[in-house]
Amino acid sequence: MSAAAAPRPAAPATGPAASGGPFDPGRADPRPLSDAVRSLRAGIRLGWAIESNWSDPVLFAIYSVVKSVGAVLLLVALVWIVGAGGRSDAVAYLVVGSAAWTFVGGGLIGLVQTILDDREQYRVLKYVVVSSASFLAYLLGRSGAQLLIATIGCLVILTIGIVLLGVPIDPVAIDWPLFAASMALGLVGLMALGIGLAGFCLQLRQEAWSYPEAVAGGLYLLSGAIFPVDVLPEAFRPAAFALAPTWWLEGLRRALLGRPTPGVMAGLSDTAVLAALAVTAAALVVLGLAIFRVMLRRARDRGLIDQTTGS
Amino acid sequence: MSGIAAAPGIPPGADRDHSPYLWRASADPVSAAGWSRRRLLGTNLRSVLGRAFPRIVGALREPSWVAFEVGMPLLTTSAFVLVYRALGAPEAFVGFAVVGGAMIAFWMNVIWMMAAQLYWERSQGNLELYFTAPIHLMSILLGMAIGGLFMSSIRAAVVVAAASLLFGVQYAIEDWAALAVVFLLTLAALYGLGMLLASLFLLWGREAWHMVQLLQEPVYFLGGLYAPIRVLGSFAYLVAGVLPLAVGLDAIRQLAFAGTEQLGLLPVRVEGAILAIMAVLFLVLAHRALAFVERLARREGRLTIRWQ
Repeated sequence: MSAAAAPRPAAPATGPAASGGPFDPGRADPRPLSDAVRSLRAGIRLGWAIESNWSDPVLFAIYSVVKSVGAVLLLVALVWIVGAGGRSDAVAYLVVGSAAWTFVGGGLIGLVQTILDDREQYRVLKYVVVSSASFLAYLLGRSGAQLLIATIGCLVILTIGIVLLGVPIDPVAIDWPLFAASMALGLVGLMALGIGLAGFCLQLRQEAWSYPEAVAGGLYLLSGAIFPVDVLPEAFRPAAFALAPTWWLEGLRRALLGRPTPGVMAGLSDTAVLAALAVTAAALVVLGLAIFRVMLRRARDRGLIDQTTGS
Repeated sequence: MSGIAAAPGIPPGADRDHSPYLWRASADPVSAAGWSRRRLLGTNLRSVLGRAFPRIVGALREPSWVAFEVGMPLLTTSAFVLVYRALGAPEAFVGFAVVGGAMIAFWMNVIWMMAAQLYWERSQGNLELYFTAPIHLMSILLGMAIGGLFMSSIRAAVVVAAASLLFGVQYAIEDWAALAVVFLLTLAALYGLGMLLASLFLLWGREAWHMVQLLQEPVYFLGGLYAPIRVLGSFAYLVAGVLPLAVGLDAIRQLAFAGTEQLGLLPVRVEGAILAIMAVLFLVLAHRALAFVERLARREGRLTIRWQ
């Protein structure tokens, strides 16, 4: 009789059954959808706790607001100092771009830092990976908590823009369908990019923390976050048009401000902008998920899930 | 002898006053060591070199950091330069943004690798070693500062060189000596502030990470990193009295771009004096704060608890 065919020795009785509790066979069955939903919810709760319970609610609220306000005032100062304060179009462009950019912190940078935090600081990544939880859903949940905080920052910036800086955003005149579609597609694209990057960063020993910042920095420069794509040197413009965040920001600006960005973008219809956003976001989803799967498998094979680099 | 207990194995007739095997009541490891001043000074100097060593050697051994430390600020600086171009600003402002982008290197180093460093050291288990060694914590922080300055200076120099070439920045420096003095005073005040913040951050737990985050964009705005601090109006005077980055950068810009003095907040001499006062004040405050933190660590023991 081969060793494989030998009867397995009875395992010592432990757990609920050993203590007289009923064994629920359903808990051993894979239920992909309900597992994913449970993992997502757990990720959101855990992420929110990590992000918010380091301080009392008042300090946390101040922190969330001050950081966002600093980011937008930094840009508005540029407009004021060159005497372009009267140019409401420039201020509006910067305010909407800065407000939207808060989501890059949660959806892209935060997602990558989550996986590194769990591996390097909290050292729980190995447990999450071997558990029955859906790892991808858990990661998205952790990122979801950061997106909630980003939403607060975004709303604060827009409020400051409307009330103090006179940005012409009228809630009644907002193109809500365009806004919802742009926001949904843009966030999906950002998170897909974050997922792919998180898988990639699992492979790294050094500088893993810097990659999301570097990618976000590149997007900040290329995607028209704070200046129109037309200002970029001509060689960089094709790259700008290939990026989902470029179309995401343009869609949001059109929805909120009611007009397209002057220059190349002005010649495109809203439908064309949405179509470009959908295509580029879909490409990011396919690419991000594929990279994540390959990288996760490689990380498991090479024992990178539970390594700590001290970085 | 009251208060002294001989450990087993001490040979009879050994020097009981200086033997390391005898227990004596002492306030801290320095007094327990019973070393001469010269030996203490030598040990502290070796601590400075010892803490600077891994940063300098590490930077040379693992050059991958250069790509991020130089590339990322270059990206951000380029974005702000392009905003100025989009707004049709005078070319001097492009130079302002480049100099501000370079000075970010020092600020990032101060907040991440000075202010928050003791917090990381605690998590890695090094902090208790510092507390039990017969050295002053200031020597550890000075070592960090020297090592960090090495990395930050490379980063700042490359950002200035690359961005100046890319965007054709024209400098007009009439007084090199004054520029060098102001620059060094700015660094002294900045790293003094970093030492002071290090002791405060140690008292905090996970707040340290968030506080560092908070000291970025708002400080970039208040410190006039990309736009002269004058834009803040009368509030700028308050900022200049607290934030060495703001007053130092204002003075550096006035000296690096002669003819733009009207955009400066105060005359360079006054700003130089403010920086000198700040450097001394922050170092004295840091010395006291670190002594307080060290006492707290010995008395309560909670400063060596990790992952809090």
